Amino acid sequence: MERRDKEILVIGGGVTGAAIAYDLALRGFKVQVVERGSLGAGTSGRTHGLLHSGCRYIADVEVARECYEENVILRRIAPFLFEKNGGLFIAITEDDLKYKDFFLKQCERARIPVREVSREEALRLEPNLNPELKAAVEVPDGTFDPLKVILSFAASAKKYGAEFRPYNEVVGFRVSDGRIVGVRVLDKVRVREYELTPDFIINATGAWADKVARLAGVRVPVKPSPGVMVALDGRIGYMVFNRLNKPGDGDIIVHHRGTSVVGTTSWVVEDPDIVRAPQDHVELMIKRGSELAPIVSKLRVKAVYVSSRPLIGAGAATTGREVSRSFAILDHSRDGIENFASIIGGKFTTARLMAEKMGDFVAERLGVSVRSKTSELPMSPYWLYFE
Amino acid sequence: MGLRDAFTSWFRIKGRSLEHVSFAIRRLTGIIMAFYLLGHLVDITTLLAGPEAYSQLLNLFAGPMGVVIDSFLWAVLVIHGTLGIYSAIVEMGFLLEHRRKLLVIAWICALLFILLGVEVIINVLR
Amino acid sequence: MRYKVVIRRYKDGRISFDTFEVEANPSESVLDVVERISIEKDKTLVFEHACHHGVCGACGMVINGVERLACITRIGDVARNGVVVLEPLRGFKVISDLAVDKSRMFGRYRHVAPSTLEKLELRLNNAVSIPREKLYDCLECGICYSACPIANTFPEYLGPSLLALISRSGNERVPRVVDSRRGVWGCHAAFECSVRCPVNFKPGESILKLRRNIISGRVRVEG
Repeated sequence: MERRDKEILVIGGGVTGAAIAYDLALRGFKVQVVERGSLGAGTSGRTHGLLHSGCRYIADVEVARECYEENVILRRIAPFLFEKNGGLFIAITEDDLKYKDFFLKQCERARIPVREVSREEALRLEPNLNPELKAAVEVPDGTFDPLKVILSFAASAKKYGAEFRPYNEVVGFRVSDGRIVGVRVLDKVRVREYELTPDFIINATGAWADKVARLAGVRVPVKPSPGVMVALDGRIGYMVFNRLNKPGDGDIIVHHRGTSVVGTTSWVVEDPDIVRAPQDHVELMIKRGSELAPIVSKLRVKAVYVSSRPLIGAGAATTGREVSRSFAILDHSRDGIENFASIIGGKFTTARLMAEKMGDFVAERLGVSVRSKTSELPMSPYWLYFE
Repeated sequence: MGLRDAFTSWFRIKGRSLEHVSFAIRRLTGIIMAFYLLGHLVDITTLLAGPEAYSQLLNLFAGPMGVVIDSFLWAVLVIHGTLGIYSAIVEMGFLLEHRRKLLVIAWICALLFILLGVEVIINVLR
Repeated sequence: MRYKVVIRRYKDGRISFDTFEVEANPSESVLDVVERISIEKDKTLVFEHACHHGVCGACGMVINGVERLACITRIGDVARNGVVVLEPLRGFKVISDLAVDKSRMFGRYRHVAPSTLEKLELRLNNAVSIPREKLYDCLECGICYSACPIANTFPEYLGPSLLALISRSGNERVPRVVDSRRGVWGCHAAFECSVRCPVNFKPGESILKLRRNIISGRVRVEG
């Protein structure tokens, strides 16, 4: 069962990178993860903190189902990480109400257990909801602290021998005869450059995937798509508040620990490093958030933050190997580098599945047949990462 | 633990709360009293060298300098005592919600006792 | 506004203070400014961050002499004459620059395995109540360890937030280590933890309540 002779380098210490490290380490590979900042310093750390029930993507039954299945798996393998209070989709306008039948039908098709609740019950469950609400549907959403989930994946990976190197940034690749033969890394702690010589390299840098891939002379069709989130100074509920309609701006409020977060907007940028929250987006969040829960406009804003989603751009369908409707693994052997692959798209909730598919891909590529076990074993708690 | 750690954490005053400053003063007065005890042992030990040596040493403290030193020692004792009572109460888990008030009362008591003591030292004992 | 951000650097055993001049809006968080410095001015600047909204506890640091979460601290609120001095948390081993090794805190968890979720009940009416769960307000940021004079000088001390989590979990039994000098008896009521806590978790009060509960026998010690 030992496959320690095969060294795999994962670039990116977000939730995807940490989950991939766990999946591969569990399969017996020797895994190293390099991350330019601290773990979770990119997009995944800055997520909303929503454990998706899938209902937000219900228009695409397949994607919704995938989310729900991952939601169930994560609750099982790491119950200590999630506030499992469910969520409510509420209709406020006539337009919202028209969406309800479609929503319920799609949930049924996706086999996501939902329940319509009366207006009175919804307001008893969550007194801060807009009293004008016309309909409400309960869904199996959850919430989490993003960093602790990432650290738990990392702790689980470490348990099986994976090594994490935060503050280590990839600054170049040495490519020779259609292979990456060396990866140049800048160690920011010791301020020196060194070279790693892994057998296979995985680019799990999400919104930064193209920036990293270009160092090796290949391109990744990722569209960094930032969204603004507004954290309130106070917690206004337990169940996630969603607008019962097509996903749009400011249509969700997620609660975790002592705060509630209103999200989100969406636009596209060239460079995920240069993003600032536009003031009008913040105002829009407060306005739209108050439609869900009027108390939003009365609370102080504790923080405004922006996170760049790694959306799959045009061209991925033709150059990539589509393993799912929501994420893509790009095999760079098609671009002339045989030991290099990138993964883009996906959601925080589906990180384990992304890692499983990436693990399958790598195992097949390296001629090893061993399946993923991440969905069966309980995860290690985050504090073990520090031992 | 190094002495440097103790100084930079126990006796950090900048940006610290009344509770922490009081903690620091409690520790400091405790240390001063420990040194005083040592000094006191030395001063009693001079008796072995004969009553004259002892009186000579005591005369050192009879003048106005003595008032200052006695007042200082009294203040140290009182502060350590009142802050000690405050800390004993909260450390047993009582009045935790009112600790600020309790602490202010402790400081006011300390000041009153110090003034009273200094009055006695100056007017009664001399 | 123009700000002077002075950062304590620590690289390979050497300490220095670097000054960066930055243009920033006073309502911007200190963390956003630090991140911008790391992208635009010095990519070797090492600091820890993740959620940027006061939930994950990664970005605790000493800002102008006081422990704060950089993500929920507006630069305009803390700058003095346009100067902001950033140092790593105290009481931890510094990895580099502003990043510290939090194993001094998380490494103690295995002795007590605290619960992460607070169990609550939402009463709908007299007959019906619904279970609710909530991640503790405590972010595990390490600010209380940095503020605590005991944690700074007694490395074996379990520490304020961990003891507070045990106290808040309401368990009727606690492991032996909690009832020792490493546990509740290590606290000497300096309360700086409670004053500095960015989420008002009150570690100091929680520790002393637990101590009282252990003395009175309401909480039993085992092992």
